[in-house]
Amino acid sequence: MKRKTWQAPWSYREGIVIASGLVLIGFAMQLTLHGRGIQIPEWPGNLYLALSFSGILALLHLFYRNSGVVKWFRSVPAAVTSVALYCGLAILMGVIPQTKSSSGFINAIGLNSLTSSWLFAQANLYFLSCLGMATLKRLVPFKVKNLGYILNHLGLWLTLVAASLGSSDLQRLSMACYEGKVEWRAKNENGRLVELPLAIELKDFKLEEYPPKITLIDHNSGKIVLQNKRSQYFSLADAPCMLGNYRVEVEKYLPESGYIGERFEPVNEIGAPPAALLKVTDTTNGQSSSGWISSGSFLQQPFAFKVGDPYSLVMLPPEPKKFQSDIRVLFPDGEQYTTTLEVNKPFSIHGWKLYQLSYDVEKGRWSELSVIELVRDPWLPAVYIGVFLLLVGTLFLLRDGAAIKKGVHHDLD
Amino acid sequence: MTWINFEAFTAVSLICWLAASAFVVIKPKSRTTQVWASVAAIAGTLVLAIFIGLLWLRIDRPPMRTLGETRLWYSLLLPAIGIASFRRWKYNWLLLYSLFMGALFLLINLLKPETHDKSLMPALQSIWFVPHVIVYMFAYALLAASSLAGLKAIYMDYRRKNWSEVPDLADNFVYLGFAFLTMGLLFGALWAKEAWGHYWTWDPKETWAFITWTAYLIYIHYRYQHNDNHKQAMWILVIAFALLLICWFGVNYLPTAQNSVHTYSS
Repeated sequence: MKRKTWQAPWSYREGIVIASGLVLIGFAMQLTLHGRGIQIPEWPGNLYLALSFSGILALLHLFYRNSGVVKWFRSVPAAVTSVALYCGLAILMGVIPQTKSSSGFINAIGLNSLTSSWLFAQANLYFLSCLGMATLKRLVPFKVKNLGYILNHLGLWLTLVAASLGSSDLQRLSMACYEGKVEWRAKNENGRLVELPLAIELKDFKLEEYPPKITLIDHNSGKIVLQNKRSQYFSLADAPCMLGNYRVEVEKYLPESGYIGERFEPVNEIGAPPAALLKVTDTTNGQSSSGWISSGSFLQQPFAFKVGDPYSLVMLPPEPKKFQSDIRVLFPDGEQYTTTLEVNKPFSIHGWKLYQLSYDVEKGRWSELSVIELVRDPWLPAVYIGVFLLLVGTLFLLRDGAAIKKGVHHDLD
Repeated sequence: MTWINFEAFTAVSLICWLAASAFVVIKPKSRTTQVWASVAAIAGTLVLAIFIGLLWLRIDRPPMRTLGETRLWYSLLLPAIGIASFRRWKYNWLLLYSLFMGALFLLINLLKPETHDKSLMPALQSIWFVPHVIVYMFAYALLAASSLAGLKAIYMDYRRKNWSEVPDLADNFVYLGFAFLTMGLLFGALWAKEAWGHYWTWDPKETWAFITWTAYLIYIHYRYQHNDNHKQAMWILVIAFALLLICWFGVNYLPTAQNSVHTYSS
């Protein structure tokens, strides 16, 4: 017998209708509000929201657990359709650049700022309601055999709730620090200057580089000759090497040099680029010649070595290996800390996390500027608890594997 | 020239894998040829493992930075999973497919050579780098195996042959693969917090990793209730793998890619 739509028990048809309904309402909301997205309230508003949401789910589970709608929310069709809606939105986000679009339509319905759109918030709410009800079903009453299920579902629910509601309390500021100066103002994501309850003194900025690479270019077109070949360039540290038909040997290498007369000499001053004297042998005719190359710097011109028409050897600007800032963090009450910031090695202090972000790229290792990012995310512990539950949950997935599907470890709904 | 000869290693691996395939194609039913096929396949895979090990030593950093380098790991792990499953379940076609895919990715690397240099940008210098990439490559290889099973099922269905045991095999791969996929995603998030200041920024690569993850989540939940609708399930598996490939390679060609922080090829 054929079941009518909305006749219990609901299934995929209702799931698809609900998902499409959310899409339409989401776009309509966005249009009526002239493209203004949804604003998550800041602390403590978001906490109240999180508590009320959990409370409503818990009450529904405790008092209406056998109602058709509640049953449906924790059903597989609801899970599949709500995940599919989420997946569909993510695909839109993965294809449409999330920046101001040239299309007025895309701007108007919020497709270029999906994470703050009504549609995304509704999809999130729908998904988290389904996930929440499903979790509660296995959580209350608790049974040990449901542990893997609970870890995976509760972990995901907690991570997503904390991450989405906590996003309004997230502060990401970037501070431009100059060597020898103390700074206490930083720019927020909208470019506004904010005064901070702490100050940073940049004592020293240091940058280490890899040995420079050399490559063969066509000096008429400026293009790399051996593009898409396996040895299109090589590091000076690996010399001697072959570039095309040329055998290249390094006769002299100067990490810091100055161009004096017709040659390079070692110098010790700001903006002194690396230079190398090369011996190049054309293997097709055995002829060799010597010449200088240099990568140049923000103060000096690069220097190429013509090895035969139309080929020249050039030195590429050295790539950064490591950059770090020696800093002192100061608080108004006189408290202070000295530390070194490095990429991948942030420093945590009083709820703030300090990161080495960037520097004056043009000046490279002579940069006196170090950009430090300051991040404050009070919801991070909740997110991390969720992530931890999920990670433990994956171990259950590995152990139980496909047995889960066959209902060996869990009774089917 | 101190470069390790990639062509020579690849040639030996490919010949071994070809020999393994020949064994199971010529005498599919024989126990002895299955043993010989395993020996040849393992030999080819070991040669590739030695190459990756030497490359790692030579360039002084984990060879996991560029797409070409991740393809090497895939060419190693997929045949490894194929061989292990072949020993366990004795499916000849699974060995053939996984060796074929491994060989295909090696050939792509032969045709699209990359310069493996020593530089590793500071963002990648982290204890998370190796676990994040290895776990992901392992997940990708397992999920590829599941999609090969899915394609096999669809093909057998088209030829009106009995394929009733194939979906169960696909499920075994999906559950293992999904566990690793989840770990890879979470390791990535934990690493991003240390390197970039936030665990999730909807960077195009992250967005597509999330899409891939939700696609397999749909498959798992669909299978949970509809254990008999094999055909739809196998199609979900094939689509999910297409999304995975976009995440791995396709992202670079999308209009969103210009703002990605996940670009490490020079």
